[in-house]
Amino acid sequence: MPLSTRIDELLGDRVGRLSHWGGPNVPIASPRSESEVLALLDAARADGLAVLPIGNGTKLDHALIPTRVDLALSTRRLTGIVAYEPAEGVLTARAGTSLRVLRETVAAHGHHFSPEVPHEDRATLGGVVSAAPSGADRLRHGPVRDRVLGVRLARTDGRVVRSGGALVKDVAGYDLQRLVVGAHGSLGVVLEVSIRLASAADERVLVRRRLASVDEGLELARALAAALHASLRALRIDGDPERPWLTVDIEGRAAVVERSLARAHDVLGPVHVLRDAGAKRVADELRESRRLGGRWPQLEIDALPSRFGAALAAVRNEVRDAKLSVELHPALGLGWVRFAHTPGRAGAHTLARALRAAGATSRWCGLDAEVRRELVEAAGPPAGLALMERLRRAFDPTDTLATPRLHPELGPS
Amino acid sequence: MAAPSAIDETLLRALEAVVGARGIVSGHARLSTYAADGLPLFSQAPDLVVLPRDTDETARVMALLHTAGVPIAARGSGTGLTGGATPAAGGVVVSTARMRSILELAPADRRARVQAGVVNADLTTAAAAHGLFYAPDPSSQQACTIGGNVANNSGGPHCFRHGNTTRHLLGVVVVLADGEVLDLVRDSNDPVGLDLVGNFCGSEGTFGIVTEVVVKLVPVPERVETLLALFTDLDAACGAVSDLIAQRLEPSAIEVLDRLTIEAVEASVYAAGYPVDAGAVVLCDVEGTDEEVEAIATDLVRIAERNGAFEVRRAADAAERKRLWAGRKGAFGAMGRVAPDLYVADAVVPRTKLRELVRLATEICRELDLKLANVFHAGDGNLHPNISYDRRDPDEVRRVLLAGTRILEACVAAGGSITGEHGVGLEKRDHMCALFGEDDLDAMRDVRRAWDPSGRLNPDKLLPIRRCSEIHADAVTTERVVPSA
Repeated sequence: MPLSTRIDELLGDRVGRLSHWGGPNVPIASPRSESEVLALLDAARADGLAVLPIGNGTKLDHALIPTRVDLALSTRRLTGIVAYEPAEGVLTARAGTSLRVLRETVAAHGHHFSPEVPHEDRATLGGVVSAAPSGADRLRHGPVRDRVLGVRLARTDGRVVRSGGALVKDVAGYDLQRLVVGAHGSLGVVLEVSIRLASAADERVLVRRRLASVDEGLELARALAAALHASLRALRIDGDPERPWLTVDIEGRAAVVERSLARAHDVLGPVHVLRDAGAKRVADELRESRRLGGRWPQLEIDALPSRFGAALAAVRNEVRDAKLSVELHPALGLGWVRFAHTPGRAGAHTLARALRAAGATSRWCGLDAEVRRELVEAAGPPAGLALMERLRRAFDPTDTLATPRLHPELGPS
Repeated sequence: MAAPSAIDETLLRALEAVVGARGIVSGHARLSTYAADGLPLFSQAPDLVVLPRDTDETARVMALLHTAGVPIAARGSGTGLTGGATPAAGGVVVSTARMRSILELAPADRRARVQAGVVNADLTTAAAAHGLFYAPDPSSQQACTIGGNVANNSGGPHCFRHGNTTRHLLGVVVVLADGEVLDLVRDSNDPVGLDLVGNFCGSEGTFGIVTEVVVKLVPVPERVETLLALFTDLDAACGAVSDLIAQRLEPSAIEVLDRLTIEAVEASVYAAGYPVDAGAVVLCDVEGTDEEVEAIATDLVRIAERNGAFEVRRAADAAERKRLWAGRKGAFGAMGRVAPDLYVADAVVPRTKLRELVRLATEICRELDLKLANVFHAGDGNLHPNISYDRRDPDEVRRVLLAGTRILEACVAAGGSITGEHGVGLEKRDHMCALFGEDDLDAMRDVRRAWDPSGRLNPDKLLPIRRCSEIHADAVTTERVVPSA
């Protein structure tokens, strides 16, 4: 059955299907130009279709599954670097450009592209900006929102707006890009992004040590964070919580790295030290380890560092016998717990309650859409929810974009 | 107390019941203090100033003003440089000057919660006991408030490494125009829902009044070294900075001072030991571990020398470091020796184009017969051409504003921006048309309406009140440089 005569005409046979993402199986339109994006939005608005903006779909279930989706609009074909002057340290690229292309392009000129997130070959710049995931390098390079200097966004009324620009310092006008980062496509379709690049480090070393317990890792992490602050790229506890690994990712100038390595030895005793290709291989594996697949859900814990241990204890208390794997970044207060079973509705609610009591925020991926919506509702409305809805409606007054993505009440009632 | 003209007696009594008699400022002489911020070219006395002591009082004050339909301008210490705190539409100034408490220092989480009126430097002093500091450090940090910094997304020399205020902001408590309190402080890394805190930062008092702020604190580095590279001329100093950036060197601050600034500083109480025979100096801080500082400093000296530095000095001790930075931060004050008034421009250029834009600014001021001094955050491409003038001379004022406009236009044409840290305020409202299209500005208007449907918060600031096509047409025909009221 045709979705919309005009959209069918626009796309011809260039329509795929979005499936296995937790939501309905819907057509994907992949326009090749900004004007096609605008034409699709116009047609969807005219025909009353609900549009879900996506990149390559690698982070779609980081947000709520919308109640209605008629069409996914992918920016994956809007690729290419618009501007990259290495002497400026800023890059502007189209939304569909893959993170691998970006990383390799800037690495050739001594820059590092942050964030480092899973699915590097498929994840797109627009998707990363929209989902704002925590990168494996967040401890050193900060959150996505701090790296985005400017965006160009297609509004559903056909206007393309720019916010910010390609300068490392610029306070002219409101920072609309701050709203767009992490909005999961609920305000418009990201067309182009300018990013502040980091300097690539001269040296990088990974230090790994097997731990007797997560608690041992948390204690060591506190000592390491204080001793190595300036050169830490990441500090993480991974794997089976009964016998996890501690990984200390150190980077900087050669002399700094060697000094930090010596300090790490002082704190940790005997360790595995990985350099060059070995370090890269393990770092790539660790980066990709958070990718979702299969049937098992993943719980994100987000807390103040001082409350992180208590938050973890609350989780372990609720799932004593469960088979889990973890990725914990204690210096940030961030962690991911991956279940080897489905905790079910009651279990998920119990965990969320326990985490709230411990002062932590929790988010789920890979869990039943309805249960996730319940969990968000149970947490109560976030401060400013009515204002968020006014902002959403200001960007998309015709409700053309698929909602809710961020909260059950952010969308037409 | 007699009621000021636009505020009736009933409203005045109600406000006084909330904030007490000491929380009200009225009377022509006292109100004139609040008629302008650090940009005296725009001046408009408010009808009344109200100074609440906390969030609750602010909410009650705002609710009363909402009912009365009175325009509101928020004010911290009034150190802003674009007329942002000037009550252009009259009405009431709500000042955070009595909200001066540091509410919580949490060293384990490296964060602090403060009232909006806490002075920037006082927070760093308090955090020092825990081996931490607050990184954004505007030149006015001894007077400016954290709330004002949030409203303007303020910068400072060390934002080269650490970033403007927005990168240090973890939460705000905001009172909206109708008195609603939004507690946007979170105990998590990421916001739940849209990033309202990030959107609020830099909104220049047009979204709400910030009453409490939670900020990130940064560990005091193991070692800090200050270097001063001396050049025969400003051109070479700018070239050296562009080269430092191209080589991806990361000191924590890269500042440039030209000869006129050096002379003014050395003749003032801020005398720092800058060499008066240098045409320009590049002042850098390098921080980190011993090894890191040594490595960066060595590279820095090499790059400065290959770009023509005839000497690179290292501060011998903490006292000399402090002196060098006091000279830099006191430079604006020291310029008072050159002329009674100082117009501090604020623009940004791509860092590869520092040299050509500084040359152009010099040329523009020469053409208009104006005295220009440069002291700026070169590492960020953030220019501060400082033009000395006498506001009693109308023709000189006209030429100063014209020079400011031409410099901004040149920066925008080169891919830059009209402001790097001072904000738009009243001064640059119409210049927004040079940087943004009407669709961009409409999106900003939509966002502003969502935050403040009443349109009473700092009205007529930040966004052009006419269509850009009209403003462009006026600029062509009349050489108009002052925003129309």
